[in-house]
Amino acid sequence: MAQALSMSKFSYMNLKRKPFRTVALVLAVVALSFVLFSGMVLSVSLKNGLNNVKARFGADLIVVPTGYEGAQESILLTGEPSCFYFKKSVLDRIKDAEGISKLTAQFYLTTLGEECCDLPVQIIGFDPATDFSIQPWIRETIGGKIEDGALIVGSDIHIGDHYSVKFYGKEYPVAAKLDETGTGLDQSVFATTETIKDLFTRAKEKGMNFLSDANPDASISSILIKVEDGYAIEQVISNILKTAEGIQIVRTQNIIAGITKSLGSFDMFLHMFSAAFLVLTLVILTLVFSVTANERKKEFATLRILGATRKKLAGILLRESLYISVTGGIIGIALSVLFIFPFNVFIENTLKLPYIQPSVPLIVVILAGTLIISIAIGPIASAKSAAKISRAETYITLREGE
Amino acid sequence: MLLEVKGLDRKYRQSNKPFYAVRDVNLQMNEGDHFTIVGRSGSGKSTLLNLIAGLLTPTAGEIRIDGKNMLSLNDNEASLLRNSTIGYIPQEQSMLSCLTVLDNVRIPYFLWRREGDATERALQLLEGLGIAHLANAYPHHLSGGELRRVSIARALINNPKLLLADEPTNDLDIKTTDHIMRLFAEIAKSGTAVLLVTHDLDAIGYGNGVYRMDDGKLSQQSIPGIYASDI
Amino acid sequence: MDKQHYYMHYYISTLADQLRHIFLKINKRGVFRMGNRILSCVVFIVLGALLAIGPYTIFPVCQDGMMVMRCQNTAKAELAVGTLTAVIGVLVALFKDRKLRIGISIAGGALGLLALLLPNVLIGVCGSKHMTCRALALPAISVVSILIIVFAGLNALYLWKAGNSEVMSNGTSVKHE
Repeated sequence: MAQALSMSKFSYMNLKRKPFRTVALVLAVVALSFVLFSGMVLSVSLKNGLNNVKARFGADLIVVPTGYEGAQESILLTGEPSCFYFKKSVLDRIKDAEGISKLTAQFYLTTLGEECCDLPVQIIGFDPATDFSIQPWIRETIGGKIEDGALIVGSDIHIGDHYSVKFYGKEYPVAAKLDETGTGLDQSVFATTETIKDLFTRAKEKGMNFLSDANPDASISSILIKVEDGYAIEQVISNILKTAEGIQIVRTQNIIAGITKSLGSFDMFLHMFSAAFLVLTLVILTLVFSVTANERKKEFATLRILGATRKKLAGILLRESLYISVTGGIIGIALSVLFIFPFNVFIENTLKLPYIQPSVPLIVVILAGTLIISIAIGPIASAKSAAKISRAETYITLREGE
Repeated sequence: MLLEVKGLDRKYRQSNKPFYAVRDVNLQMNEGDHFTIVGRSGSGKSTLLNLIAGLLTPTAGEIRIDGKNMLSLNDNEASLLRNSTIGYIPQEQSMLSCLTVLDNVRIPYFLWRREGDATERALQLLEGLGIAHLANAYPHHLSGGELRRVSIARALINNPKLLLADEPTNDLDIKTTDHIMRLFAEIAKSGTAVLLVTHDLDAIGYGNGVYRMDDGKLSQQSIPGIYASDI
Repeated sequence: MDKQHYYMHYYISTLADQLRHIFLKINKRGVFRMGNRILSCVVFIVLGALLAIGPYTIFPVCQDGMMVMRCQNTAKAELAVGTLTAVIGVLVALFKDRKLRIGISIAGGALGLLALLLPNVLIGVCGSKHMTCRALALPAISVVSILIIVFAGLNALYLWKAGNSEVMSNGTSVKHE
């Protein structure tokens, strides 16, 4: 009781006096900052994912056996493992088609790791001599060549402390773990053709059954092609189709375009929702502050009589709105952080779009931006009422309030 | 001279005809003066008080308080004057509902930067008015008379030189009226100038000057035998 | 202020007043006077229930029955811890004594800590990032545990401060329950 009655304490007591109203307003700001922060992080994560996809899909075209176009797309996007094969001779026939700059073959295996409750894994064998898609990526990570018998794993593969992975009863050393791409390649394992042969042999020893035409010496699963500059992709595709039968061609551009479209709509929805929310919150706050200021005209008149300057009166209302926005902003962001970061894998699985969380500095920037908007919205909403209060002719106000 | 009012006008326009709530009023007060202004409802006495307090702007004339020309002051200066030099007791109930009685009394002290917290002084004032036991109560628990007394305590917290009271004995019984009027007389004796307006005839005669307000015009009265300056 | 504005203000103010009136009518019997006890009871019970049955329902662990997986053990342990947390909720409502309720709250906080450690350190969940136990159950359990810890701490602090203010006041402050 014997404390100084500062203006901030006075504002606080005013808020305390109407607890329901105060809590409701704080909740409105909580909701706003939650929507803004989560929305922004989601949006940036999806954009990161898309950019990564564009960077990672080194090939323009992927040739697969007829009927396996969908399976190939799944391998790339969702990491759903698949294996399919056609004869290696197809490679020889295709390689002379006009407009091909580079081409390389890959061999697929699928398997379960022997760790308890692991998800199935896609093993992709590549030819170190001709590969142009995976090796640049590997070079980025480990700088050198991949040693014989070692594997390169995607970011989602669980490797344990000893930096190795067990397949078919044998421990294979892991040369490197690649950075997150937000694509299905995160759940893949990469190996040179030699290592693949070893895996294949072991698998057979373990009694695994593969399709009869599955044989790393005689068959391949897909052919990655880079189109030469100056050639239209459609033209190259028809050239290739002329050379061999029983094949389908996946256009990575289409995959990327598909993702871009989905991302675009989702992103637009996020932005519109956030904007609508911002406007709605501003309207609600402005309305409530206006009602509040009106109700308290008499109190403000009294304070004026007691010697409060116009600025001070405006300050009381602005301070109250500031307390509400700061509290709401902080709580909203805290709740958002509690939701969006721990559950990011769940969100990724649900959205089925490439998803890579922003870096920590960027998160801090988004946090700061959201905080600033949330903190500003209170005073902005109360500014008009505060100005009105400070302008009203005191005596008339007092009599009106009777 | 503490208060000097010269040629004060407050004009309104009512259906295109000018209407004077206050017309050519002149008044002078020194420290320790205790004046009462009587008049019927609508005679303009409350308007005059509010003009002096700086709550309304006159349409003509001059008001000087403690040597300062009220009309030449900016908002900050006028507010400071209102806070420290003038104590105003409004006619209407004007407590802040979120504050206790004690805090209501103290709040003028904190509107401008000052040392300390005025608790002791506030309690002293409440004691003098006989309501110290209500210090921690909230305004909605108090009766009209008690609220009026809190108003008085609040007006005195900053040791004002001029005390203005608008119908201070409204709704009060005779005993309480007498008590409060004697209190005003004591305040005047201690050096504060007291100016009150009232239509309550029981409230006249405690001071050393009576004025009458009629249709906006102020005139001094002399009512024989009712001066009680030796109370 | 123009007429429309005025009416809008008027209706909103009267609506607020009416709601307050209804609230005060309900509160005539002092139902809400036990504010803190009811609130802490509800919060502990709700969070405890989430912890206990969540891993079997809304944020499930892996369901395959081939071998007993770590995440399933975690779910069993959380069932126990969650149930105990709900019991804490009941206890905190039963007892009037403030100091006792502080102690019970602290116990609730400790349970929250245990609930947090179980899937993260003590037992764990499946290794693979995309399995539901790691993608959904683990973060959900962690969040609920953190909420329990934070609430228990704030509740204990609030009760302790309320006790102090009772001691310091000179008899006219509201009794905190």
